[in-house]
Amino acid sequence: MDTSEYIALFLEEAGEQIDILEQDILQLEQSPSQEILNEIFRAAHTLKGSSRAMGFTAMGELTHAMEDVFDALRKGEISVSTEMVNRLFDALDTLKAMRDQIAEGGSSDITCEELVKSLRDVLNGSTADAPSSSASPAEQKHADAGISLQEHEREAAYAAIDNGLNVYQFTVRLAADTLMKSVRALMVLQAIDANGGTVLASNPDEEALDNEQFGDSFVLLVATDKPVDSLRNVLLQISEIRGVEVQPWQEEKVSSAPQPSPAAEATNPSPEAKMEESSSAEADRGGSRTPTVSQTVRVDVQRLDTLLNLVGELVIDRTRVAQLGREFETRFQHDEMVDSLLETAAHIGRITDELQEHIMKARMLPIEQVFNRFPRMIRDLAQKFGKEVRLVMEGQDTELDRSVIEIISDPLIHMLRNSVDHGIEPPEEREALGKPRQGTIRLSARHEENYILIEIEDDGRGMDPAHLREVAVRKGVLTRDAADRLTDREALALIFAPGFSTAKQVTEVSGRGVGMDIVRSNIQRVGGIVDVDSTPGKGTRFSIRLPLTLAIIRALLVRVSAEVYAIPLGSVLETLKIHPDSLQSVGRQPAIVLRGRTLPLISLRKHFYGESSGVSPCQGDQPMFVVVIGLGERQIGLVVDHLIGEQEIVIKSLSRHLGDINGFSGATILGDGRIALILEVADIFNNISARAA
Amino acid sequence: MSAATIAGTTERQVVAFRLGEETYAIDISYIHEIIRMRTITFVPRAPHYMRGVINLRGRIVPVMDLSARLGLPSHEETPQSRIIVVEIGDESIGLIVDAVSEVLRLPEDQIEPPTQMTGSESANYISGLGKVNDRLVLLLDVEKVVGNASQ
Repeated sequence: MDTSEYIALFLEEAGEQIDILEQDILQLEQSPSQEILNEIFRAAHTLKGSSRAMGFTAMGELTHAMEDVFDALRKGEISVSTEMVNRLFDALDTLKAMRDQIAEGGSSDITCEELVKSLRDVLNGSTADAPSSSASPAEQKHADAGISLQEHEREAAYAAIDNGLNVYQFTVRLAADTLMKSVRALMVLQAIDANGGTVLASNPDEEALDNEQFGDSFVLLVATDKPVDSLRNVLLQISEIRGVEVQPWQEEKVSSAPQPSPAAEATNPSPEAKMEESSSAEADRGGSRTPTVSQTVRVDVQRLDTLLNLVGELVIDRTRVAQLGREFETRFQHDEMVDSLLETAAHIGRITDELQEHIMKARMLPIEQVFNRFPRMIRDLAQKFGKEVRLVMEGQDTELDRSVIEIISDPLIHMLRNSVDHGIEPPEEREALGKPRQGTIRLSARHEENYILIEIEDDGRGMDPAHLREVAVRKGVLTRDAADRLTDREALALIFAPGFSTAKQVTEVSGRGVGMDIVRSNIQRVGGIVDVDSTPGKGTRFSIRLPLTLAIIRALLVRVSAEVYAIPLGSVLETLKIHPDSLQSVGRQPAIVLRGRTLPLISLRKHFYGESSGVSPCQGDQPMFVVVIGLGERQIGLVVDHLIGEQEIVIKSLSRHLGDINGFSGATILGDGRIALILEVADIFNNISARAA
Repeated sequence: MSAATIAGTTERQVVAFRLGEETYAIDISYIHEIIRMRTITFVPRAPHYMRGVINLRGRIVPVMDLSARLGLPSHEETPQSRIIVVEIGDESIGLIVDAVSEVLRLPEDQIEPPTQMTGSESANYISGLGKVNDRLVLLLDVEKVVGNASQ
């Protein structure tokens, strides 16, 4: 069989199953439930089937071994232990590695005998310890397990329901010392038959019943239109039958394979639903019987990127058309054609806005995609460092542009590692401090105005500003004088300074001084802001603000000299018009006092064009325009020649042929075709600090 | 330069242009288009020979003052001034020249390796010397000219 065209599909599905397994195993360790066990078993089962079908034997082998463990768990033969979970995770990691190898080269040479053996050990080791029972595991496992139905049996059950019959699950218990169990079983079957019931399926199957291959009980699936209690009473009269439990049959609860919902099939589909069903018949690969059609399609990311780029062009042209319309209006006053041009332009504007909004939404992914891997990571890290850590996650369904999602992952990993490694104290230390042994890390995401706020908060030892000042001086990051002048918040922000790492010893995971400065620059690269707040002894909180999308932003347009510049609105705190009288000077730096706080001023004219306008950034008596921008706790005022207004702009990157341009994150094309450079606010702050130091 | 460096009677097609009194040439395979001068948006803090960026049908393309790059005296912009847009890798860059003269075919065997030229910084960027009707044409190594800028 030529499997090449199925490989992509297989890889995608395998990835999904592996994700499910990872989350569920984790949950299994925390709070095992039958529901989780069923889901986990199903995922392993599916993965086993598909990898075998594709000829990836080793993968099939390994999943098979995992499946056996889940099966034993499901049946209560063994119970969850940390060691077991570790081995399962090892197996899962190997599965991932295999999958990745297949993705790269179409095959995998990773072997897994060791792992399979270790999983088998889990199984055997614990079955030996299982409560003593005369029955062998093979016999025992059928009791109370419900029924795994064959396809034709399931159809028979649905058909019975459709025909107005009731379907029940009978669990028949025999006395422990029954001699001829198969005879009793046969009598039960005949009694049901004689009293208006039909046995649709049994567990074990009839052959096993005949051969006495079962323990003290067996399960029957019975369809009947008679009152179930009378049937039960008939059975109870058979000698050596100790008990008969009857419950209405529920497919979900007893089956092990993914099932279509019986409810959906039993009820009359609405006309719309019927149409969907017929139109999906050809499209639906595998001919699933599910009547409800998934309302989603998979779209190549590149196609979405292209769409967004095209919309970006449209946004530019929309602005251009609107501007032309206004120019025509001033030139020809109220001409009929001008009016209709303006009207059309306005309409195109609205449509474009909507189109843009929807395409942006189509590119959104829940941040879950990133968060999902963290519970496992925290568990492993905590184990490694001998910490006890609880990870609480909130707002996983918060949606972010996929480009932002891609970039935010690494910084978050780094910060979480830091929290486990440096933030949370060892359990004994926590106890001595009167804190709960188990530390808590809270990871949350939520929308706030036009950005996403992600917070990482731990209840660990926190950071001491005084200590950070000391370290900064010792490492030569700051002079003693400069360090002493920092406010506590500024001192905390020192952890983001290059070459600053407070780790007392370098650990494998928390890195070697390439820490928070990289984190911050990564976040800033996508227009985000990271901030830290900490109380010694109480804990630390990192806040990350991210733009909703990277491609189109709102910006304040300003004029400096002959050019127009765009300042991302996310960084703009306010705009001011000030008189030269209110100018002060701190050192050689011009400043104003704004609400009791000194606000340093930077003349963009001077900053960009090197014009020496002296200390005073203004000309003569003219009032000057100041844009107050903020980066974390720091604020400065940018003196510009003129404020133009707010506008949505499409970010275009600057060619690398320009050389290493500092201070601009990109450029945009304005309505009149002119180019406006987009200020990189973080760079401006960095330049200022560099100059001050 | 291009693949046409095989010995024999192969020709090299180049676009010749003027910088001051001298004639330079660029292999035609690099050239995307030649446009008239237009508004150039100044990019603060860029290298001195970068004049800024232009809007080329929605794309933002940097523009280099080639004279400044080669260490030649700059000339006033004239109606003959042009921007030669070259494509290197998948990015474009514009080069300002004083005038574009013609497309030339240089027989490979008439191209000499660059000799020691005195003093001029431009010597580093010359890949060969060609002669057309007793006129000297300096073949420019575009990748070197542009490449060094992005480092």
